[in-house]
Amino acid sequence: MNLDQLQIDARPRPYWQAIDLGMALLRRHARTVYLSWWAIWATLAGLLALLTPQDWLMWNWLVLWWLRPLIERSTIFILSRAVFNEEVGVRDTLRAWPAQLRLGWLRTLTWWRPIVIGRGLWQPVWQLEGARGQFASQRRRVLGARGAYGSAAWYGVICAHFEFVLQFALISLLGIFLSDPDSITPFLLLQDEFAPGSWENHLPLFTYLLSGGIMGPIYTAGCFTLYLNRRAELEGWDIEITLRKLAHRRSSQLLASGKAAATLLLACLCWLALPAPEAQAAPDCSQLPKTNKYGMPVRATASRPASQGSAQTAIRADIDRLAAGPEFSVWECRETWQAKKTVEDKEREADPPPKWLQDLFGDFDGPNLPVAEILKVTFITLLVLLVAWLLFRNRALLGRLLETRDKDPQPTPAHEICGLDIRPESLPDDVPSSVLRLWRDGQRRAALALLYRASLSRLAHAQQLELAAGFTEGDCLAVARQAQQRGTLRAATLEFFTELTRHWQAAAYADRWLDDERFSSLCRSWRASIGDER
Amino acid sequence: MLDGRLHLQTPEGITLPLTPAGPPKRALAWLVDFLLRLMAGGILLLLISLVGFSGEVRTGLWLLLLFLLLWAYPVLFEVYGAGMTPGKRLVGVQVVRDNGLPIGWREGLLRNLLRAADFLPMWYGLGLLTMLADPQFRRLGDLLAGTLVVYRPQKLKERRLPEGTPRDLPFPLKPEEQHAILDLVERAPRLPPARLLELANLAQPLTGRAGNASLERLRDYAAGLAGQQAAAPPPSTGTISDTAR
Repeated sequence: MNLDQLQIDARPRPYWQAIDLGMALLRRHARTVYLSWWAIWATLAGLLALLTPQDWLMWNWLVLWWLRPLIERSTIFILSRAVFNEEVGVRDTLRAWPAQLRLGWLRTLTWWRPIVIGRGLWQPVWQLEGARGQFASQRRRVLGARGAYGSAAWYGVICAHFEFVLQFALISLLGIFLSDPDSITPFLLLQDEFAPGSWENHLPLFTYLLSGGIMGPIYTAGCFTLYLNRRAELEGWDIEITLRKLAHRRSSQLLASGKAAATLLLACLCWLALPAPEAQAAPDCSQLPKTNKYGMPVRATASRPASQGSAQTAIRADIDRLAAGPEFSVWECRETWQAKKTVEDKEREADPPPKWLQDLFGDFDGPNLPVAEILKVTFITLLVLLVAWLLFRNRALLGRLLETRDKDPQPTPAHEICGLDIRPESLPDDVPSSVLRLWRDGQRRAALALLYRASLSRLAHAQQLELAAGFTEGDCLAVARQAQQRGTLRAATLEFFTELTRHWQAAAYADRWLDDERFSSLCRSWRASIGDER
Repeated sequence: MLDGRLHLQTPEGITLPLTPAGPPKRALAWLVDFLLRLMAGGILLLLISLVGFSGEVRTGLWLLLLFLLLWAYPVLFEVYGAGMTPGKRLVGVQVVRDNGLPIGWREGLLRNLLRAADFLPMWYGLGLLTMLADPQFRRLGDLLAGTLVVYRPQKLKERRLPEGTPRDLPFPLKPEEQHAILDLVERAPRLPPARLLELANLAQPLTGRAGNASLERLRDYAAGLAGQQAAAPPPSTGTISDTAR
């Protein structure tokens, strides 16, 4: 047994999860397991079908059931090797199978067969451990302890029911397809007796062959992984695997460092020169306070010795001081009100049931309540309430649907675009001359801004362009273009506005200014193209 | 390495281990639910007949009750009960989406509507076969709705480590190796003494000793790893994996 090769995680897990793991293991080796199972299983069934006398055909499946523990050993043979990463083929299994039956076969086939349902847990004791006699029963006791046998037995019961379900499903399926098309019933074949010689007499054996052929390996695999889990738990397999890896890692580390002998020597000297770790460990653990001033246990980071000198000790002390502070040990007291039982309540509880209930229960034929009427009214009321609630809930949506087009004919223009105030009353009376004055004073930015602002204002108020507050210069231009295409804006106006926008953007964002000549011509054309549009 | 678990990774890089529950436990949960529904149905039927409606009303109410028990019971309990019907709660399994999130109406309805398909040809024959064939034990309804039935995470029991003098490790250890030391010390009372000494001998590269002395030293390391104080040992850290019941 080489634990390094173990193919399943040896961590102890709840028994039912260990049983589920059996299905995963089986799935990985399903081909081999099922082929070797069916090789024996189908041969046996075939022999039985041929050899049973007519009167006993209903019961010959019991022989198959009785011999199942023997066939399970082929599955255990395959899985016990597969779990340690050793592949065996169908041929090897069939050849090795008779030798697997040496121990414990008598017991499993006689008085144990009807009563020991969790046998799957104990099969490996004979087959894999080769235990016999007193020792074997001792092993069984240990493995079955702590509820493991109980789980195996329950698993057996459940698997038996699954088999029954599969059998029943198969019979029903056949029944559905074989019954008369006018009266399809799944229960056609569910009867005790068929005409002698008809094929239906083989149904019990056939269905058991299929259901046992499906569930048999599953039961065996589940019990086998339960056995493995139990052993891993009892013997600490996961611990052994990790410790072996640790030893291997350590030795390869030491080997690598051994190659540089001088370094190693130096390291040893240094190591010897350092104080031994034991000396540090003991003292600073006992001196720690167990609780802080709030009476809560201190989470002591310093309980592990600080091995890196005083700097780390200081840091640890800092952390401890912070952790002990009020920020990290908050607890709050909250007072709430809770209804307590009043005297009335208690009295009411003791009261006899009310009159109407007594009336109802008084005679069984009943007072013939108009239940249907009451229910009808109730449901209609509920429906009306529901519709009303739905209408109320979606009132915003409905309102939007019912809204008429002419509700707000004049959208009020925005007051401000790009941070510029475009209300007409904010503009000077004579825009071009104020602009030119500002320009000559050297306030070029203010001049250009005023010109652009005034143009926008005219477009928004005189031309009814729909300019919203969040528009950029580009957006305003696009709107103006659309208006021109619709024919509500003159081409000259658009041309002027386009040019102005370009100059404004170049000046405002790129600090590129147009010359005086160009600017004054722009001012002059303002009135003609936009300014007079009142 | 077969583990029986699904490791889902969240965008934050956290790994969520989910353990899909196999057919036996799910069948048990179904059985419990079935019995509960049978009892509830019986009691309610009795009540309905006690009240004494006329024949047709009674039949109508019975049919309504039957419908609710068959179709509404699993959906409502799973959607409002964190993926657990009473049977699942008792058995310790839970329905979640296949990415680990709790199920909603869509999943709850779909997986329970498909029960009709799983029930075919009789008594969940098809559902059982698909569960046995699927690596994550999903039946048809689960496959369609994108759900999984998983074991509910168990609460970790607080265990006391045996007392020891905290001691530093001689060289750095990987997390799983530290866990193994803690595991060994914690499970020591349940391991046979001879086997315990064998394991302690295996740890010789770490402890530098053999037999009982090595075991003693491992106990000290475990005390140091668990952050134990010399006088009163606090409960062990939550690193020990869930062990068998």
